[in-house]
Amino acid sequence: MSLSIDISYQQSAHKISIATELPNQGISGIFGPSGVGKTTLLRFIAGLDNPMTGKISFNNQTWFKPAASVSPQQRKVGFVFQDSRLFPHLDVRSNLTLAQSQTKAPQLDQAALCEAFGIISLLDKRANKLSAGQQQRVAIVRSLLAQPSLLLLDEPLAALDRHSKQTIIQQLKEHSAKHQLPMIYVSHSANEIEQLCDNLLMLHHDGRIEFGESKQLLQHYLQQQASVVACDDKLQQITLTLTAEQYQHYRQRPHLFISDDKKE
Amino acid sequence: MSNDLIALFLTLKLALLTTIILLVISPLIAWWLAKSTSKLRPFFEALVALPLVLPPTVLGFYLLLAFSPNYLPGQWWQSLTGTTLAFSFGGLLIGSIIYSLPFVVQPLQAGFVTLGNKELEAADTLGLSRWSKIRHIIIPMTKRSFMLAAVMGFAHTLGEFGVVLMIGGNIPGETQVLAISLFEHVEALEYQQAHQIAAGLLISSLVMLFVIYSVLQRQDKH
Repeated sequence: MSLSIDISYQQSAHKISIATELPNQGISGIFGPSGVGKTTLLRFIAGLDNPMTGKISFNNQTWFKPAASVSPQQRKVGFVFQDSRLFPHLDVRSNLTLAQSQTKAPQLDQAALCEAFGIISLLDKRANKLSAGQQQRVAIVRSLLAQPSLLLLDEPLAALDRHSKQTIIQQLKEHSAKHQLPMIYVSHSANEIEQLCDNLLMLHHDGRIEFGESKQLLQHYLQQQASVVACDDKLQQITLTLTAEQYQHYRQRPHLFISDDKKE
Repeated sequence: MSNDLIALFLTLKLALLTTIILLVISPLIAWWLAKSTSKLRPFFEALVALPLVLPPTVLGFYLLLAFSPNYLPGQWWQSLTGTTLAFSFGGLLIGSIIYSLPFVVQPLQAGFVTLGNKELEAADTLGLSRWSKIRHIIIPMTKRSFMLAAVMGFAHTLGEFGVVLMIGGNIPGETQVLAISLFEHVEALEYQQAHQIAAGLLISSLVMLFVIYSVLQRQDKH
């Protein structure tokens, strides 16, 4: 029982072929630099777009094969977009209620979920009046309330501050474990992936893919080509190339900020 | 009841029915025009926009021919109902629908283009059915386009003249609308009655447009 992907598609100049199986439990990550096709892959899994050829199946149910595609509604796939995509004409409460009303047997306590994700005070506000970070938190709760069979998250924490990121990461982990909801989490932040994901699918610019245990893959990746941006003691941005050991060492020093977002 | 009052009620009835029918059929046309990538789209766009540039008498002339029992649509209608569409309220209604079509389709099309796909994709991934998307997302998010379309369709039908003259003639209670009534008064040199109708049409049209633009402006601020 898993998400089986065996597809080919065109991403910029490269033809990318992916053949892998993601487990239908826990949180799997998709990691890679910008423009490598992470979002495109998520859209194929959700059924919002179709690849050129191949097959996608989930728990032995075929979602895509040439000339036949199951709709996103029938796939029951939740999707947290990079740009939140709340319904701007509704307030937060109505956004959430509309999502929950689509499930035949709602099992989640809306108020408890709002509390956990820190959006209780936003319920009566119009969706388009929220900050980007608030919108993303609401979008995550909205997707959870629709009770999908698989939740896809496309860089959902990009607009959040450090503290909020930690809270959300913790809540996502707990929710996935408690409700046995498999998640696929796309990010180009090694830090987020490391904290959140059990397994990792790594996409490279040249079309190569790797799949394995996330910590191991990330270590290997950073060792090979760690390129991190740091600030020196004059708060000037400098670029360092580090080994994995150096990288871990610097990350533990609180006076030195290191962003592990790989810069192109 | 005076002929002018009868013409007023007939005009309002025609405008109301035309608007209601157009609000049912136009969203489908506008959606296709907004979303289709077909090569035929520009042709159908041109077809819908034709009444904007065509002299109403040209449209009226071809409708008159189509309604006549000498041609297929007219024959078909006559065998079905035993009456002719020419010089009848039914014929007038069909003419009005075609003539006012672009005034309703175009604001809706613009609204659907602006709506984009983002929220609709979000709705898909939340499991909303097609009907739920229409009810909860598309109509509320394009509400201003629907309001504008309804007012434009209604106001435009109120002022219809050329098409009515060609296919409806001037039968009080059946096809004599206000614009025709006005024309008749002017021909008979009854300027006072002509003034009443002309000023009435002018003011009501202005008020309608003023109200709708005020409402839209207020919505913009929210």
